[in-house]
Amino acid sequence: MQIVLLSSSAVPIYEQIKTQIRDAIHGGDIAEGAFLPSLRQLAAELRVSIITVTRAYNDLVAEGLARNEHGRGFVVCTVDAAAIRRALSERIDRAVAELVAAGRAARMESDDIIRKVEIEWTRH
Amino acid sequence: MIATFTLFDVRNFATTQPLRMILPLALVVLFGASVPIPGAPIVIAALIASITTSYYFQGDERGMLDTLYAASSISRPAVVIGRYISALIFAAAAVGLGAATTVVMTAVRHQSLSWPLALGMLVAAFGIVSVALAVQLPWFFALGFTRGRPMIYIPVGILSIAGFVAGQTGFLDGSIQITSSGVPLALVSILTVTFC
Amino acid sequence: MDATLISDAVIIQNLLVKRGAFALRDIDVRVPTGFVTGVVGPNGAGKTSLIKALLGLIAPDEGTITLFGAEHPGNRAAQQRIGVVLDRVTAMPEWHVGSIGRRIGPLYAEWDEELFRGLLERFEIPADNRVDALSRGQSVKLSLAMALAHRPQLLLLDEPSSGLDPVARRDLADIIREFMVDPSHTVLFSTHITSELDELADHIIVLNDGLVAFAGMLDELHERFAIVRGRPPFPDEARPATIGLRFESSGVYEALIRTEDTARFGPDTVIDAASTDDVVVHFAEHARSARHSARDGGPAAPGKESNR
Repeated sequence: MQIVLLSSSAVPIYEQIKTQIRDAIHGGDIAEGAFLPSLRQLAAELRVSIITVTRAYNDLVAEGLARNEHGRGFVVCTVDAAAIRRALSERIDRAVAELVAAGRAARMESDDIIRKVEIEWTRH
Repeated sequence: MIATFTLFDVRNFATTQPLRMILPLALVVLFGASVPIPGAPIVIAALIASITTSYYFQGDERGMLDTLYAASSISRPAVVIGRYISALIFAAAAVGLGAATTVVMTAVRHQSLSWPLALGMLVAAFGIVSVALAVQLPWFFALGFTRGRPMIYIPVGILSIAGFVAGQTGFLDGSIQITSSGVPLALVSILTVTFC
Repeated sequence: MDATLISDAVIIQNLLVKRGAFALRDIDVRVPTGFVTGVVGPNGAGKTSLIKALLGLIAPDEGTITLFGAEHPGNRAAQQRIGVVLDRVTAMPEWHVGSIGRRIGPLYAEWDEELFRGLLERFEIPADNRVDALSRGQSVKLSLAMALAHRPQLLLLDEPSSGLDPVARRDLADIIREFMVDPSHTVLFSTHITSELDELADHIIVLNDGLVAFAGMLDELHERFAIVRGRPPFPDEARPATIGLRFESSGVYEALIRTEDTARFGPDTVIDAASTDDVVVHFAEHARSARHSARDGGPAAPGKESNR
């Protein structure tokens, strides 16, 4: 899986890793029962400390998205379809809240925002 | 382990500081041959060998080898003993050369060297080397070459003075004129040390 | 002895190491197996002394060092599981790079000549060169190759990045990361470049003036400390809570504080996150002004703090 990090972001690295893996699981990019990349291997590839990845993985385990098969690695858990839908819906809610806040700060009207969304939608 | 270290040590010395091995041996022959006292080459060899021990430590310092030894599988005691043996090996070579020079020179000069005296010389040589090493090694291991270096002059100085005094007081058999031996010995040592 | 069963590769207790006028003291730290621990501090803080004591090159005046569960020094099996990279390569200047394996291989129980050669090739160090003909970057990589070739479990590095260009620094970091993919491996490195720590270290030991100012996970460091900045007047009753307090010429002050002490500073102050650099610098400044005031005979009066 391809994780891309932003070093200058206010979001801590482990949080970014967690989010990207979570999205990949919810989006179906990593199958149930598949192994997450080796913790240490991922740390070496992403050029971050081992503890950073450990923290991300442990958080994912706490969320129920993965489990630690000692000695063999971290495995993606059976995903609850309803939970995925809920998580994705929450993600949208979060994005909308941020969008609205940004629009208000820029003193834009809701129509301007909606237009921007439509333009962006057609682009992808 | 000790053997492994000694082998490494001697090979290292021979290949990285060959001049420091050859020159002192050459001096053994040179000075040994020039001093007219039979058996002198042997004692001179012992003196020179005592000084060259320090070069092993200089090598260590130049290559930071004490760190290498610390992280290797050779234990510290084995390093110390192995180094002692390396020094003894060189001493044996030097004294052996001294003995050969003695044989040659006594023949060339038509001198005679009685066996007891020859034996006495060898014992003295052995004594000199053992004492010098026993004193120097802990000193160098503790301080390293640079800080321990001035120390070299001490045993050399003592031995030269002892030789001189022994000659003056007639402590040794009067048939051997060791009176003048103190001076050449001191000269040899100072030259050897300053050379390097 | 299975290293993976031992949770701390190194345990240092009560260590006292005197070097002339300087002393490393009250050192109680652990280096956990499977992680990278960085030792950071200003020059003269004692980083090199600590590493030398770990190697057995300096005998401690007091205290114990436990290496892989065995008392150190004294355990040969443990001793040879250490790989070292110091500021100068541990090889004689005259040696040819290619001959190193042949020379020192016998001194190790597990020298892998093929691995050594492979590393030389990968690091692009010509085997025909003499050791004294190598550039700084090549020397460090050679040290690393020599350290890795006998398959150590613990890699000790003393300021390995000093004198390296950014490319070489990146290479060094990558090699360390590769080494860490094996969970039985441990790295301890010292540096005064705090950005290196942020990228590489899991745990950190902040040394200052011979004492441990902080030891723990890197994240903990950032959680435990904060920076406070404010305009005058400075709340004098909060002075004991400050570390490395400094005043600008304008009277604005800045100090490192523990997070739990933020309440002691009023609403007109700014609380900022403390970077690793902030921690190191402020502890160093604190020690320095303590030394100055001890010299001048008494606690530092306001205005004696360092002014910019």
